[in-house]
Amino acid sequence: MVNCKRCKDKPVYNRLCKSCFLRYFEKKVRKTIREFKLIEKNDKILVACSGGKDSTSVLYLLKKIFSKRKDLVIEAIAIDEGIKEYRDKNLKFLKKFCEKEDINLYIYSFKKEFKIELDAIIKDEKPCSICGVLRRKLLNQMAKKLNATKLVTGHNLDDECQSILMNQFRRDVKTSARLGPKTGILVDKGFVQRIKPFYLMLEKEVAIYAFLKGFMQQLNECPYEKVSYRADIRDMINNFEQKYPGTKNSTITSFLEILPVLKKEYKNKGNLKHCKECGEPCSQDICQGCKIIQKLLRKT
Amino acid sequence: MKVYIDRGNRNIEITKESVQDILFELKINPTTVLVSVNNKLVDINYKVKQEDKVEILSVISGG
Repeated sequence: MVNCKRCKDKPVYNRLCKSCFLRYFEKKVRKTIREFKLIEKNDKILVACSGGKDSTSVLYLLKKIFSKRKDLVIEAIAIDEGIKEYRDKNLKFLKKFCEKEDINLYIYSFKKEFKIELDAIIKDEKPCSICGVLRRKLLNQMAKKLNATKLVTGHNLDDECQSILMNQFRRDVKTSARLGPKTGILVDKGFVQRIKPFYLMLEKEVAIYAFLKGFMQQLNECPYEKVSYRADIRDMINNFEQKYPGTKNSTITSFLEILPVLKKEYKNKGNLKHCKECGEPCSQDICQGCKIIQKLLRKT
Repeated sequence: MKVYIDRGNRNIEITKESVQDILFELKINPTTVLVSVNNKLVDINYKVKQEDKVEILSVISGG
């Protein structure tokens, strides 16, 4: 058997043993935060948590990295979309986790805030796009309400690769301009800055970190994930990565080279408005979230 | 040896030795899974013994 390339212990991934892998992972996340200036002095950081491996790991690691920074506040926020079996289980785990780690957790639900539940309305619709729009809307609204200056997501390198290709295939370059370790194109007080500390970490690496830290017990896949366009793109990229190792890293590295140009290009295109219904920043008179809610409420 | 896939949803008998061979036999892409042997994480070169409990866990989870 081939031993760890750093200390000769038993390897768990890519010729690194458990302790060398954890050191590698945490060091790379620290570097990502530093290099892209994701966290600044006096930030009030809200971590968007699903109870899954990515967001639980990012919450845990930020707490660990910044435990001595008295100027920073780190709290967690979760959205209950109303997906039985899946979200229920994950939120149960998350509540326990936050209690153990002494982290404030805020939970908001589609049912209470929008008067709808995903399971009840999903039959004829595209579940992931509806869920994504509504979840982003509620997260931004509540992050502002809680005076957060940064909204952290557990998005990893695989997620970003998928988004880049999805936008490319749909000829939606503007949406790609919003990507990156710090999302968005325009600075507006209506947006809470989103940041992705796991931007350079592979999904498999995050899973290994979560497994080694004991956050993988509740792992289960969203029942609607299988029917999404993203799932097809994900499978395609994974097959390509197996055949041509390094594909994912190359996609992100080259995207980061063109991202500043994209952000500059789209900064002055299109007017930023505020939704007449809810006041959220958007590109039309009514935001996409309010349009979806109105449509769904008409159906019920 | 017994191989458990995704927390026992599938439980199959297999005779291959290395983790890499097992995944190949099952047509599973190694970039999408973690493999644990007797509850300990191992890399793909690990040689498995007949009495070992092998678990294959998907790394994919919807957000």
